Order: sequence, then structure tokens, then C-alpha cells
Amino acid sequence: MPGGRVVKGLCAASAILFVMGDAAKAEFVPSSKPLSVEVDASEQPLIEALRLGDNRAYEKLIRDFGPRMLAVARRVVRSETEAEEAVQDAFISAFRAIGTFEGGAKLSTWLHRITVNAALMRLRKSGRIREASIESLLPSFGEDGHAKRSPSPWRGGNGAELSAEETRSLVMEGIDKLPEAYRVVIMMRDVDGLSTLQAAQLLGDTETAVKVRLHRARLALRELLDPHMAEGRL
Amino acid sequence: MSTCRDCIDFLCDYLDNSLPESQRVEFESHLAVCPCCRTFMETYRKTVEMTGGCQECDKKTYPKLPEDLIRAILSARNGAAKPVGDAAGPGGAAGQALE
Repeated sequence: MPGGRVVKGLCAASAILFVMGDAAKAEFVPSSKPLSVEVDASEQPLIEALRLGDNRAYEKLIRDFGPRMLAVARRVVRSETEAEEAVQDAFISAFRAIGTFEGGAKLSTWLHRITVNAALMRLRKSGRIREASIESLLPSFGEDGHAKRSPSPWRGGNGAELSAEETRSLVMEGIDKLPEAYRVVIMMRDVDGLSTLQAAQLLGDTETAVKVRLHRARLALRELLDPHMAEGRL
Repeated sequence: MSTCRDCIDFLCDYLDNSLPESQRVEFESHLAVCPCCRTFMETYRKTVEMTGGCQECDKKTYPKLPEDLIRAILSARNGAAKPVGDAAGPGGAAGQALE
């Protein structure tokens, strides 16, 4: 086996596919229900070939969609090994479910959701998704409910003085400092662009819980970016 | 919504346009008289924008999938999946239609 990589059997996939909530675990069946209303007719030949079991179609699927899936998995789990394992889990899940894919969503959207799910499972297995305090990064208020300190305006529009790559590094460094439960939510909502409902379904949480955590994650990230972005600081 | 704490609690809903009308009016009344909250809201909004830009940036540099990972995934499939239909397999009709 090249590089000693573990090859998973498809029969193992059902053990991997569980929805996230600790309290409400249930079997996750990759559904073709659309995350958004996007249908790509150009994908139909590939989907048909996959259904027919064409080996070349499977390889094409992996080569075309795998890099994006690896990028998605990397944003959820922190180690490269875990990200690659999550991609492998995701493809195995997708292969099992391709017969039920109805084309109601783009393949990329469907695979995205399966990948997030697989990566979250990796995180859960490692026991790293815990609520940790981010109080020190949240705004503080006096007894009268007013802010204890005045925020400084930020430089430029949307970090205009920074290149896209510099902005990305700054944001990702900040997100990496957040406790896992907050990091995952802000990645899913604000980086990957999932809706609150979609994130809640994948995490096995309520929409309200996701929204509260997202708001706190954004507040904490704002605090972490502030020293780099506030006018006159650099 | 007369305090900064109330205002910041509702920031997310306000920017999502999901704040009920009465609360939105209160929110905006507070903003009108509180430069601190106006500045805070602007930096919060920029935080969301900057975070949203990360995926676009990532798209330009998707990681290369390691060849051994591709082989491992294909092996997993070939080891357990049973092809359906005559067009399955390398060079099958369905495969040729993909190019």
C-alpha cells in the first residue's frame, strides 16, 4: 500500500456516518437534498457514469473534487493526516450513496456537506469539540451596560491595505486561536458559507445555539484582529 | 435597547436583517447616539467580510490531492464496490463520455 496509507472498506463507512450531536446521534445518510438550489446539467454524464460503476468516472470525481474537499476538511480539522482521512471517509460515503443522488444539488455542494460531516466526525472522535471559555475575548461592559473601552476604527475598507493572502493569513491565525466549538462554527458559516440551518443540522445543534456561538466567535475574532487592523497600530 | 451591551447582543441579527422591526428601531436609535457602538459594528462587519473572503482566496490555491490518497480511495472502492451495468470499467462507454 503506497505510503502505508490505510485503505478503508466501504462496509466501514456506515460506522463513520453519524450526525454530530452528542445527545442525538443518528445515522447520517448523505442526502441529495439541495443545500441551495443549484443544478448543473453538465454534471449529468459524470453522475450517470458513477451510477454505472465506471472506474474512470470514480477517478475523475476524486481528481476533480478532491482538492476542494481537502481544503474544506483542513478548515475543520487541524492536522493534515486527519484532513486526508476525512476526505477518504467522505468519498467512501459518497460512493455508497451515489445511487440515491437525485441531481437536486450540485455534486460539489453535496460532496462539501459530506466532507464537513466526515471531518466533524474526526473532531468528535478526538474529543476536541468542547465548549471552552472565550470570555476574555468578548467585549466587557460596566454595571450600567455601557462599553468599558471605546473601540478604534479600522484601517481601510475590508483590510484594503493588506493583500488578499495577508488578510487570509491574519483571519486564519485568529480563527485558529478560537476554542474548537467556536472555530468550527465560524468556519462553516463565514468561511464555507453554509447557512445557520445547514450548520445546525451537521452539528446536531439548534439554529439558536449555532447563531449564539457564531456571534461569540465573530466577537472574539474581531478582538483578535483588532491589534492588526486598528488605525494607528501599524 | 438603551445600552451598548444590548446593542452588541443584537448585532448579528441586525446585520442579518432578522431583527424584528421594533427592536431594529431601538437598535438604530442607540447607534445614532453612540459612536462607540457605530465603530464596533463597523469593525464587526469587516470581520465577517474578511472571513468570508478566505474561501475565495483558498480557491486559487486548492491543495493537491496526494497520489497515494487517490489510490487508497480507489482501492477502497474497487475492493468492495460491485459495478452496476455493462458500461462499467476502464474504457467503458460511460467513461468515454466524460472527457
